[in-house]
Amino acid sequence: MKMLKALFVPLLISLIGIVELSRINKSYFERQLIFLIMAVVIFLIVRRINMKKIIHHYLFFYIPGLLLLIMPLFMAHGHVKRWINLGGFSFQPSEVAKIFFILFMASYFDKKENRTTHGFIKGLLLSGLYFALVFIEPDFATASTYIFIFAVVSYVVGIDFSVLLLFALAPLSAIFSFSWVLYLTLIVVLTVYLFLMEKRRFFFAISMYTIVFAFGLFTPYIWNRVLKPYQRQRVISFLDPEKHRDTSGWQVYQGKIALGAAGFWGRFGESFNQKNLKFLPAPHTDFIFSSIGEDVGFLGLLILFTLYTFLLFYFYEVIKKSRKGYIKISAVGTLAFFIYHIIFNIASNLGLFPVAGIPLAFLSYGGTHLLTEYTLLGIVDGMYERGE
Amino acid sequence: MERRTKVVVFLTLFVFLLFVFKLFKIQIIDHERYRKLSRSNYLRVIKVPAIRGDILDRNGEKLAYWKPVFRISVLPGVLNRSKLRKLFKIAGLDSLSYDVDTFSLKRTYITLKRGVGFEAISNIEENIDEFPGVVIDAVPARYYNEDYSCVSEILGYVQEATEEELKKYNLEVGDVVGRRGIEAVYDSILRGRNGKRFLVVDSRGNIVERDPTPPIPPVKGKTLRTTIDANLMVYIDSLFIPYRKGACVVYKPSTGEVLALYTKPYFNSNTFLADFKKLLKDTLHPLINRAIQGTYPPGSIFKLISALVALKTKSVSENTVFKPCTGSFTYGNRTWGCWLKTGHGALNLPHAIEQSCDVYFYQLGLSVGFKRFLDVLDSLNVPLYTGIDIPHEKRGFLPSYEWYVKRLGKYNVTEGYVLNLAIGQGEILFTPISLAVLTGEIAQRGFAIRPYVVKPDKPDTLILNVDSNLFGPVLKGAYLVVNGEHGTARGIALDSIKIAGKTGSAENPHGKKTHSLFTAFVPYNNPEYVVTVVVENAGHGGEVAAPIAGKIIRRLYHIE
Repeated sequence: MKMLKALFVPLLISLIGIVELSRINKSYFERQLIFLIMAVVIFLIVRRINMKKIIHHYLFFYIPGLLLLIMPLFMAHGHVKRWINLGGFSFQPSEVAKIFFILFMASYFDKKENRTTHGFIKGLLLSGLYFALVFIEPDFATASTYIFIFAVVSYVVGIDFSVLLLFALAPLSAIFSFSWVLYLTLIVVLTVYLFLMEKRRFFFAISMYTIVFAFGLFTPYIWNRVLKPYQRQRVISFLDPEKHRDTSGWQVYQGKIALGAAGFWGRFGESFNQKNLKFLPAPHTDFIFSSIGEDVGFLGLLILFTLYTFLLFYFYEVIKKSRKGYIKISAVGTLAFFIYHIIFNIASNLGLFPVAGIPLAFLSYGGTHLLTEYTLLGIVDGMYERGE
Repeated sequence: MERRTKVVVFLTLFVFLLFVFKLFKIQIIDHERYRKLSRSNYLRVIKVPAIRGDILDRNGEKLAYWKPVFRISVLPGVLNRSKLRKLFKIAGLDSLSYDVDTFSLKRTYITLKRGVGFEAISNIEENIDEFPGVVIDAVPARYYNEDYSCVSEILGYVQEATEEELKKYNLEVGDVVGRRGIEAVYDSILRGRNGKRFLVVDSRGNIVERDPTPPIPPVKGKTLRTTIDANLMVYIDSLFIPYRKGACVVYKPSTGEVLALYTKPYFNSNTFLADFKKLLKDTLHPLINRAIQGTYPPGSIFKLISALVALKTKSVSENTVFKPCTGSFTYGNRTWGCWLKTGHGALNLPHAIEQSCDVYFYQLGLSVGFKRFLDVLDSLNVPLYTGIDIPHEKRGFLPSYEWYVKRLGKYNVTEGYVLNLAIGQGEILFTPISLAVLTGEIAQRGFAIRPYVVKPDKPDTLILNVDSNLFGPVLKGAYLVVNGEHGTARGIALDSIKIAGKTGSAENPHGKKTHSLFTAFVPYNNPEYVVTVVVENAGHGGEVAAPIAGKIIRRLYHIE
């Protein structure tokens, strides 16, 4: 019963989510329960897949993932091409493609020669196609999931941190340039880093500062001077297509009220709470953390964080004990995947990050996401158990 | 790989720790604040209007009370403009009482409309799901007893407060304020205090639960008992049926109580606002409360004042007899007629009052002198304005010497003007209520209590500045008007109880029949009531007004 170790914590968290959904809406509860059963079945199935034979050909994973991302561009309807219908089922290919992406990364970085700067740039170019395809759906949140996974995996496989920094600097300085505090912090941190570096590389330092200044100065210039107001508006609404639902500030405010009013013990038995009176927006998806927090209070959320911590430790154990590189990297990618979905969802509930429609791991309502999670878990656990 | 994985895991755990700190701040430190915010999210207040105090007549008859009506309230910010329009269309209502946008009291329901018809209410109820945030309930509304609609002018009416009044009196939207009459004067006493009910609503404004905490009950306004005798007024109304316009006052000069303050035509308080445009256009001017706002030339009633002026100046005494009346009187190169063309012959003062002899009063005026007459008149403190507790009373008018000078020019003011003045002609104007008070003052030899319809704590006394022992001849004259052989109102004399009074016939500029005036007090020896009657364009005082007064007095004393 080794697999229980992998399944126990996620299943416990999922059951918390199921109970919470039953308190929000019966039909969500029923559907999610069916998805959970399906997910466990899939977990058991994918656990048996032996990756040994195909794992050395990264295109085996890269191409199907790419096709999954291209599919909605032709098959999906409406303005945001994120969902496609499959016999009455609407599913989100960009979620499923994450599985292929993680395996692609595992396969690609399994080879030592790809862990060089050269290999990193090639991997970045390959992955860039994924980012771009999700980005034009448009689904900024999912695109950033891919980027996050790519960044974490690249870091863990041992790509030179300076190289990573070099590539991270461009988008960071572009975004941070809108706030001079953040921008100055970036320059200070960069300078400190360059001083602490073991080998002083002059050209490297010069190119880093060049990127910071170039992106830092040109982005506001282009934004303010070159782009017309309507173009700016287009960019904003492109990045956040669901903004029109309600002002996100109001949602976060209501989410905080739900959490704050719950206090230490929660208000499980109260009928006039934020959730029941529908003040809490999207309690089954974006704000399920606040919804749970309203019921179980500070104490219950501490338990939830403990469960998530156990999940981290499980992956750490896999990475530590596996002999094979691709198993480690699969685990790293999956770990990054979960970290992203935990941290950025909770951060948005606490008002620390914009609400971007990022589901909370094992808790948010949504079939595709749940199946993806258990599939990844099953693949990693299967490989780990066999040792392949 | 392990080292960098450790970094990733530790960084993540660090972020978890930050989250826990943040949660500690939200859930433990700021807990109370968020609890309040949550409460204010769902708890809404709806006003329970206070019942306005009843208004009773002197016998306890209900003149104004309350009836339940439907009220539509709405939670601001829930319905948009087009939905509100739709709501009003379905309800068959024409306009909003208030601009909903101007009120940002998001936690309190505001009243859209009170007194909505049953059909409109059922139309809304059928579609209530379409209109979250809308509450329909029954609230008390002012209702006036239509059996006594002739009292309306005394009562006034109520109307929703204007934005200005909301601030001034610290009222809530939808509250009513009194207008005109008792409703206006005693508004703060009648108003009472609104109560509150609490409702739990969801984010869309749907009501989830009513009264999660006990409501704060409203406090009913005080019941006001007036001095009005509503049934007497109904009787007076019946006496006025043949006439279109007029007024009548029944008043107790010894206490100030007003039993009747009748005006014709009158409005209906229940439908005042709906009828307003029609009332405004009505050529009979029902918006004028003639009892306190109609200003009439007193005609011969003024002869009582002329007599007092002459007595005060000692120009005449009871037995003064001037040149006999031949039907006309010549002064200078002009001749003034007496109303009785055949002449009254020689009369003393009481008999001159009895028969209202113009020629006697011409000579009485001359004996005082024009300027002196006006100066003494001014010193009498004639009650042109009584200060009755009903708003917008009009002031009557007495000319002064300066007024004549201003009007005619210094050199045109001649002694001859005293002739017209002495018989009450000129620009002299009295309201019926001021005539009643004047009558009371004469009847009681110089004083009367200020008239009121709601008894004040300490009634005022109004004084007529004439020595009390000078009233004898005037009172005797007034007695003879009714009881004398030639009295102008002799038709109304009673055996059991002695009436005194004075008739008046006021010329009016439209050349129609004169206004018929009569003012009386009764009983003669110990005055209890004053009855003043004015009937517009009806003829002489003795023909129309006096018989009406006579019937009123019979009723007051239950004489068949």
